[in-house]
Amino acid sequence: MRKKRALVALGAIIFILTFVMAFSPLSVAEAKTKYVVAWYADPGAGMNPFLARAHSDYIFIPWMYEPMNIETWDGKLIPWLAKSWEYKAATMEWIFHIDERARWSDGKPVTAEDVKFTFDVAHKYDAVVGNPTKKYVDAITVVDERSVAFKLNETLAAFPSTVGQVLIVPKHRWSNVGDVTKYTNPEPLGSGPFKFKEFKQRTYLALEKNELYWQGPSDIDELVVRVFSNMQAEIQALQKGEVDFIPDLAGVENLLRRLSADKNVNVQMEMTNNTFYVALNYRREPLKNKQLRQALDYAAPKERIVTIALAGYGDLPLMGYFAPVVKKWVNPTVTWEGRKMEEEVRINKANEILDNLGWKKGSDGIRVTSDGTKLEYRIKCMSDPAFIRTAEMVKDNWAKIGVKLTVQVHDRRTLYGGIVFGGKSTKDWDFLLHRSVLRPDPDHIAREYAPEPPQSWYNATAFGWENDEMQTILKKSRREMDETKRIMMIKKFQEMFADELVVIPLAHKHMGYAYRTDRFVNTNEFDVYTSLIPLVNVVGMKLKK
Amino acid sequence: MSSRWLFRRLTSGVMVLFAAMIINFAIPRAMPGDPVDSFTSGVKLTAEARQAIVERFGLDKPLWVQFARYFVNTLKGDFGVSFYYFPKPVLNIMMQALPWTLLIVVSAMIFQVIIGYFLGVAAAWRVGTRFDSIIQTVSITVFSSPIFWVAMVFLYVFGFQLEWFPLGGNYTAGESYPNTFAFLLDVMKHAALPIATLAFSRFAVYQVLMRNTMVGVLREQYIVTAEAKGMGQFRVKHRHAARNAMLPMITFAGVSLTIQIGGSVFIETVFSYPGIGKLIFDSVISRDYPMLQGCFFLFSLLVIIGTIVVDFLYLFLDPRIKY
Amino acid sequence: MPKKKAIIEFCRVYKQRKTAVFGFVVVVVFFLAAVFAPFIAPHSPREGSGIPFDPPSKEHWLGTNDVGVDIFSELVYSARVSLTVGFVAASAVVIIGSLIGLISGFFGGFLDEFLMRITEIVLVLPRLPLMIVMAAYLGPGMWTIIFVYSVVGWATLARQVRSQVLSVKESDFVEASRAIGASNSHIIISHIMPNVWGVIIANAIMEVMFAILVEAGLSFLGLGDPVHKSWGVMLYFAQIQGAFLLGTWWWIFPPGVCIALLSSSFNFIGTALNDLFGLKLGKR
Repeated sequence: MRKKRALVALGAIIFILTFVMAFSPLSVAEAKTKYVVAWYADPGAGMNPFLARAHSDYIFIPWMYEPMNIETWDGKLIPWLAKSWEYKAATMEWIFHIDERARWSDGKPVTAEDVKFTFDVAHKYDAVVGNPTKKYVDAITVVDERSVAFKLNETLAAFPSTVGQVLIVPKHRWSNVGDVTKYTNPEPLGSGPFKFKEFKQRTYLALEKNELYWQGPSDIDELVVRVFSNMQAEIQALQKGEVDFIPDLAGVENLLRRLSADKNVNVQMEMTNNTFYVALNYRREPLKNKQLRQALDYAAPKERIVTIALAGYGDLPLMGYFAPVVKKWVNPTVTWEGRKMEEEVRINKANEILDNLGWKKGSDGIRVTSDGTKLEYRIKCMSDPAFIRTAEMVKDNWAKIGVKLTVQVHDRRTLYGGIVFGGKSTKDWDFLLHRSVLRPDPDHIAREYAPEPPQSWYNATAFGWENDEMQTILKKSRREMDETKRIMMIKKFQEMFADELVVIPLAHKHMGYAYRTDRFVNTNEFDVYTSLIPLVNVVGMKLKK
Repeated sequence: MSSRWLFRRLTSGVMVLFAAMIINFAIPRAMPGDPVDSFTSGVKLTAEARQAIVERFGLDKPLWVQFARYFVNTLKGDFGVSFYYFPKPVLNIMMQALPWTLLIVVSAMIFQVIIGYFLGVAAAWRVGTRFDSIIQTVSITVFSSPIFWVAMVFLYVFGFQLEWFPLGGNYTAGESYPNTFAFLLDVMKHAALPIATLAFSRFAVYQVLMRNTMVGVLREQYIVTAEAKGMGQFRVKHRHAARNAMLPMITFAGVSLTIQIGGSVFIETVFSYPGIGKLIFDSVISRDYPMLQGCFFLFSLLVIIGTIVVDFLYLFLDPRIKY
Repeated sequence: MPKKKAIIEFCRVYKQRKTAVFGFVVVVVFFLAAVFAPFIAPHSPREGSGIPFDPPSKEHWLGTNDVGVDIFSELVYSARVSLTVGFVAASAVVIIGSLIGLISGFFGGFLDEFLMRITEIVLVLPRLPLMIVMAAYLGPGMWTIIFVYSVVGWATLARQVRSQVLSVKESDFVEASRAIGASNSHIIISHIMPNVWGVIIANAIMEVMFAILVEAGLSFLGLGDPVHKSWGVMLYFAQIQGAFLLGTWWWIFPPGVCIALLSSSFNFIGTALNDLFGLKLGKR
């Protein structure tokens, strides 16, 4: 009995002690400005900029690591770590001058050595980020402490914008790492406005202000990126004030009307170079027929796709692949012919075209070509509500002109990796509902539609599309150093693209972000290429006075 | 306890694990086409990366060599490298997630047993009455409702509409807490809805079992004698009857562990709770096959450990049983 | 005829169970709804017929979803997929399970030992994760779900059929038939099967319930066919398209209620049959 009592007493003491300890404050909280960012996905790449592959990886890194320059949607390049650059045609060298102010968060300057190191390592270990430059760079040399020269093996007009895709790391921290693609980078040190504090996979990343930031320290003391996997919770948190900024609103379009009504929230949905289209597999015989493609284009319910599948956050497309937002390169004259016609009129017109071809409808309502091929196809898309819904709308409309579609949905990796674009893709598809975000610089479209050499993951190769004249223009444009001439070429290409109907554009989808306006003012003047929105936006966020 | 019984329990556990390994080994290899594509689902790979995978899994070697290598790796706890979290090992990510799953599953099981016990006893005490049949009907209905839907309804009502509980996650990420207690409170607040859902939708099995056993026990003579002696009703109920009926319930806890752990996939997905279940769901989305297989193996291991623990518990509680 | 009498007697006892009768009625109603979907559904189950997120009204009894599709019509058509998966998968499970149980119980010996070991393993393996792994490799779709459920679901039934077979096998009349030289097939058909039917039927009903739940669950995880919608797929879309935040309860509740109603109805019927056939409740 006594023993028992002693035990009870001991237990009570332990209990009380734990309680006291539990309540004792860990740290004295100071009045700090905290900024909470919500992100929809877990960064698979962690903190290593060389591993960043997907859009979702990028948000976590550019607050710490910065690029040489940043490309805006309208096609301009904003100098960042590099304040200027020039081309020496004689030696085929691009020389970049690093901003003198730029320094790492430990106070050491950002030098030409760091830039050279970053690119050399990315190329050596085949890091995904180094892919676009690797092929063209012969050698990288340090000209002086702040200047670095990239010697190319051929002329490449878009080289500066390509360089901007790589985030620069400090040589003094990375030189002993070895294979950078197998490194988790537990304690990142960068040049960005924020310093690393803590990272918990699948949960959050905590950053603190870099007092030494070369563009002036941020108004924000602490930056927390919270991983949300429920978009609805994300929106609710923004409205409650638990979150200050959502950098990507893709997938929550349905909820934006509600969000826009909130007076403390600013929703910024804008047009980007995001084109939603139906791609065709040119290996399927009648799809090579331009008139058939024209009929399909007429019969596509583009208005309804914009209003319903994209919840109104989109525009009718320009037919040359480029969206109007890319002011520098777009050819705004290639509008969709069907945009002013009633849907019924367009369907009649499409039927007329096919009737004139002599492709009669069978008893089942499906047309048969003159050589006996039944117009019966599969349209494949990835498992995303906007895609599935669009595919079904296209299917219903094309049925009215005697083209039968079956909608087949796959997961993203199987569809793109295994069926359409992969190294061993089966090419077992007829129509593909696809969305691509093209970089503003036309070098991107040139690579996709005139790949040198052809690789399965480029559009032209994957779609089985060939056109000598158009592809020659594209190839030439990549090497044209006279910008005016280059713009002419690209505009001409868009005309031909629209005329040929290489793909059937459906819409330009809007993309955007939302932030609270009660504590911060957004002082940004430009819209930047997607993956760097977070960086630029946070730099531009100023505390309300 | 005889060593023979122990031996049998352990060998059957080992066999199940072995089966799980064979399944993990066979599925990607049974898929048609190039095995490397099946491993990576056709993601863009450089020649070197392809070669690395071939070497890592020994895909150019005969099948039994591949299996031997796979077997040894698994025993060493090496489940390979995640595709999504490359180059982090699968084990690393799983171990971060595991405690959270255990937290909600174990807490929920405690609640299930308690709810099931009291409702079961109450129903058995009034066997054949209207009360009994209502409880039976409710139990069956709840049990047959899809667990993810119950979770959705809970989240909708208590999270979004009433705003009583957080909408997801395991704790408020990046929050600085004044003290440990505040942190624990936050964790409990986040775990409340997942635990409640799991407890609510799976208590029925215990309730039905408890009731049926109790009905049998109550018919036995000694209860009647005790009642005749004038013992208080509460004492009769819980002293004699319940104690006897507890045993089958504990055995059943072992069986139901399999279902519970599976159920965590749904619960964690709806509540965005970063445990193993959510990890499985995320891996399905990103087709992270090494992770998926690692999780499956881990779940199998948990189930086996759970069953063995329950066996020992049973042995410990019931002196009559000798194996 | 004694058989007819038995059926009448069965119906009489069955009718006394209110829940079982209720279950039967619900199943019949859902079945009819699925078959006559085109006549019942007021709108198209795929094409939008109203404005998005419209609350319930005279025109749309259960409102509309994110693209303006009438939810009631969608619900009626979805019954087809759910019921098809339920019945096809359950049939597969019943066939595999009873065959294995029968073979194992009747022939005994090494074969029995071997099959029962496998059964035990399948019973212990965490079935949902196993189904998810398989379905992820096979790719989403209705047939994937049917296949993975059949692979994983047969073990409980096999074990029950086996124990039933064992108890019948030892009985006097089987011994007697054997003594007069009856063949195995004769013994199975005329002695074993009549005694095993009860277990199989009661379990088959339960299997339909589990199959419906599994289909809903896997579809909810995005492993169903998003084009041919089932109730699980509807909930999948509701979850990712913002039904919670928009307060569209008419999109969240009905599909779940349908699954719960249908599966508990099968459960009521199954429980009743189990009791009537004098069997113990199937343990899961």
